[in-house]
Amino acid sequence: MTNSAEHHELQALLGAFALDALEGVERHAVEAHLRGCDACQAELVELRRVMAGLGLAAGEQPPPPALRDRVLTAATGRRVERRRAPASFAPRTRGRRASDHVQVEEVARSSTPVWRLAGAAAILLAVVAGVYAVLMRNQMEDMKSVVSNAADRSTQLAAELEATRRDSSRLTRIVEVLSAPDLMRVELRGRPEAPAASGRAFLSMTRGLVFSANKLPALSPGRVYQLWVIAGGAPVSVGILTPAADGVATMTVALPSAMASPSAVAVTAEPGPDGSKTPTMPILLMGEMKPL
Amino acid sequence: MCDGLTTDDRAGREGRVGIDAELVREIAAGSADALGRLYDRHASKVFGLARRILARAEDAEEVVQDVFTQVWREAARYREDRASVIGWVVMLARTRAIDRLRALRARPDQSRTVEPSPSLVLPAGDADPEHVSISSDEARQLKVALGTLPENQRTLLEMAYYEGFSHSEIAERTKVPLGTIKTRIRAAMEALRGVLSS
Repeated sequence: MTNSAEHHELQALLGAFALDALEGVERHAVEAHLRGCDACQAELVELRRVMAGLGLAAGEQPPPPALRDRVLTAATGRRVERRRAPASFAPRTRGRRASDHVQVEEVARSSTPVWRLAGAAAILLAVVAGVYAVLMRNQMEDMKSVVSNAADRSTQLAAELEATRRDSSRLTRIVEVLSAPDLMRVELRGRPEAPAASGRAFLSMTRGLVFSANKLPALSPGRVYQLWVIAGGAPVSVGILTPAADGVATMTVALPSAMASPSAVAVTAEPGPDGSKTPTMPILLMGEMKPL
Repeated sequence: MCDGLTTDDRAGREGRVGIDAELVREIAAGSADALGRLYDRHASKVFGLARRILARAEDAEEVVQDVFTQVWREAARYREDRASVIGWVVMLARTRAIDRLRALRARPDQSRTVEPSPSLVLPAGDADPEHVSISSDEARQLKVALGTLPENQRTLLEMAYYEGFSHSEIAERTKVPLGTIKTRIRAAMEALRGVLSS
């Protein structure tokens, strides 16, 4: 149990604790004391109110307008747009309508000629029609905004659907290759220039190639990785690999129809963006076929 | 309660508090629009405090993002009986800004990419340090009181609050004995606490 002197000593540090200005032993001592002292906990609550008040005392400064969308989108993961104020009935016509009403009443009581009554009614109708037109125009604008937002959303969904279709197509091809009766497998090992890299390829002459590699080292700008199948003793380019930032690269691709029986798979570094017609030495990753 | 407020002032304050609490309830229910409205009401306070603490506007903008992200994630934990929304938001702002300031100090060579400890987990043993109840009127009273503190107290308090220095760091920078630092900061905080309880 904390004795009185120790309690007062630690209580004296509560302000600094609230300010987060304590370190090490003192901080731990106050934390431990708070766990068992209701009075100090209550005092800390008050001191934290001071902290909040000091924060408000710093004053306000409007952030850049563009920050709003960025913050809200980042926080919620959704696009958040500022609301438009709804269209509202223009109040300034109210006075005119009231005066028209009075005018009409006075005309009735004093036997104003019919043509004047008709004129007043026409004015009233014109005002109402004008206000109605403004209302309708505002509603049209709102509708256009709704339609535009819906169109944006539709475009976004179409893009997502297309991406899903592409993924689905790629997965279908992978399954086709891996289920091929003539499937061949090759394990690739990193050569001296890429010792940590490794890869695996599954080939079917009829259904294509599925390839993956990891720990491919980053290349200097302007250079790309190119995948080769060695077939009939000659290298056949299969395509350009695009590793992700973590060094993983995958490819799923059809093989040239007239290709001879493959014996090996290799990866080299070539000038970008389209690679080379023949591999440039050294080979970075290579493996030989093994029938499954 | 004799607090210098008129009935209308009090009604207005209660209305503002009620609006904020309602917005947080809506945010807890997943309303991004409510978060936008809370942003519109209080982002200036958050940014103002962050700018007071951080030299670069870009860092202050990051603090604003951190704060409203945390509000979004923790709205369900907000307790109206324990905190005012503005108190909560301001405390988050101060914590985030000081975290960022200290991280920048620790790694000045990486000032463009430094990230403060991004944990949104509250420290163990102290359930909700940012859940604080404060009103705008009380904040105004504190601001006035801050201006009346003796300069040797106010300066040290501001070094701790707006610059995130510890007792020992303040002592090192000011060459004032550590014991004196402790005494003056304590006196300043007590004086301001007294303003709130009077």
